[in-house]
Amino acid sequence: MAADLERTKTGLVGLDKLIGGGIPKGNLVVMSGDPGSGKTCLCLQFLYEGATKFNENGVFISLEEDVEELEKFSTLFDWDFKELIAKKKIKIVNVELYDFDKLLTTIEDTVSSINAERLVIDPGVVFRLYFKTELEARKRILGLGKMLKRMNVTTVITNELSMERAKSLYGLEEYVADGVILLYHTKLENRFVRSIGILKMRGTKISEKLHPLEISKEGVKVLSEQELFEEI
Amino acid sequence: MGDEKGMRGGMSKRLKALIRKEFTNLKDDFVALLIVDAEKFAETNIELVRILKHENKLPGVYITGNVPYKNLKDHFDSHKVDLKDLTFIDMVTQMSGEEAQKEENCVFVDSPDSLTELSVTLDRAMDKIKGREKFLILDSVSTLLIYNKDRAVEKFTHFLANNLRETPGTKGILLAVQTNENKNALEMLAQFCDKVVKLV
Ligand SMILES: Nc1ncnc2c1ncn2[C@@H]1O[C@H](COP(=O)(O)OP(=O)(O)OP(=O)(O)O)[C@@H](O)[C@H]1O
Ligand SMILES: [Mg+2]
Repeated sequence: MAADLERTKTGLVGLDKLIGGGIPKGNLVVMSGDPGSGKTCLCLQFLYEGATKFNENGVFISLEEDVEELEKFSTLFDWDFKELIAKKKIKIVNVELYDFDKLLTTIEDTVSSINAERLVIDPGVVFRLYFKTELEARKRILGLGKMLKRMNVTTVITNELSMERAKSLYGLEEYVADGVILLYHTKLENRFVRSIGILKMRGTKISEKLHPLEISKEGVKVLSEQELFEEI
Repeated sequence: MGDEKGMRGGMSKRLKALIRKEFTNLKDDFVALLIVDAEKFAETNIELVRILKHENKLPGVYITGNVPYKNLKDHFDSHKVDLKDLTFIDMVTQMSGEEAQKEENCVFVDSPDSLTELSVTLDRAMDKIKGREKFLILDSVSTLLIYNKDRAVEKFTHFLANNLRETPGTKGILLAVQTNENKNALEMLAQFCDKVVKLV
C-alpha cells in the first residue's frame, strides 16, 4: 500500500502532492529535463529543504559545475548554502571525470561522512564520458544504481531531454530507477512554457497530467492544482 | 438607457428581458454557456455585469479576450457600470504589442493562446476576492477557439467548470459568439456546463 511507504518529502509542496507525499525513502529517481528547465535548481532545493525543514543531511555530487559555480548559482535564490555547508548538513563535491571507481568511492564516502539521507548527482548525462564502449557503460551504470539502492539514500540523478526524447542513461531509467520525473521548458510559437510530469514512481499513485511550473527567487514552484493546456 | 432607439431599442429590451430571466435569480451556483449574436454582444456584457454587480452586489472577475481593458473600461463607463470590486484579466493588450500600463484592477496575460497562464492568473484573482459569493465572466470562449486548438480549449473549459463547481458560491458565465466554424466545438463545451442559454 502506498500509504505504508516511508517517504522523503522533496519539500516542494506541489511536487510532493503529485507523488503521494514524497519520494519513497531510499528510492532512485531520474529527473530528465530540457536545458534550462530547472533541474539543477530543483535538486539544490531538494537538499536545502531536507536540511532546513526535515533535518535530513544531503550530498550534491556535481559532475559539471564546480562548487563555487553552484554556490554562486544558489545565491540567485533565497537559500543560504554556505551556512548549511559549514554546519556539515550539506556537502557539495565536484568530481573530476576520469575514473568511475573513484566516483563510486567518493559517493559512498561523502554520503556516510555526514549520514546523508538525500543525494543528488547532476548531470547524470555525462556518465557516458567515463566509458569507451556502450556495453561497459551499461554494466557500470547499472552497478551504480544498485549501489545507491543498497545505501538506502534517496537519490535524484538528472538527465537531459533533447528533441523530446530523454538521452539514455544506459538502462538506469528503465531497469534501476524507481521513478522518472520530466521537466519541460518548451518553445511554443512565441513564448516558452515550463511544466513538469511524473512518468513513474514506484508504489505511488501519480498525477497523469502535465502541471505548470514557475521559477522565482524562492526556487521552483510546482502548481499541482493547475494543468498545462498547451500542446507541447 | 442611451441606446434604446428605433429597431435596436426593441431588440435591446427583448434581450434584456431574456438575460434577466436567465440570470436574475442567482440563488444557485451554475456554470452557464451563453451564446449570443455578434451584434448583441456589446449589450449583453453590459447587462450581465449590471445584474451581477448592481443588483446582486457580487464581486467578480471579467476575462476579456476580445477588447483591450482600456476600451472595455470606456465601454462600461459610458454605460455607467460601476467597476468597483471587478477584476479584469486582459488577454489582448500585450498581444497587440502595446505596452500594458499597470492597472489597479487589471492583470495582463500574454495572449489568448496562453491558456495555462490564464488559468493560473484566474485562480489567483478569484482567490483574492473576499467573501463567498462571486462571479466569473469569460469573454469569450469563441475567442479562445480562434487562438487555440479545440482540444486545448476543451481541456481548459473542463478544468475551469470543475474548479468553479468546487468553489461554492461561484457563478460562471462563458460567453460565446457562434459561427459555422465553432459550432461543433461549442456543442462539446456545452457538455461541461450546467446550462446553455442561446440569445440568437
Ligand atoms: N531568481 C530567478 N527567478 C526566475 N528564474 C530564474 C532565477 N534564477 C534562475 N532562473 C531560471 O531558472 C532556470 C534554472 O535552470 P537550471 O540551471 O536549474 O536548469 P537545468 O535544467 O539544470 O539546465 P542545464 O540543462 O543547463 O543544466 C534558468 O532557466 C534560469 O533562467
Ligand atoms: Mg543544470
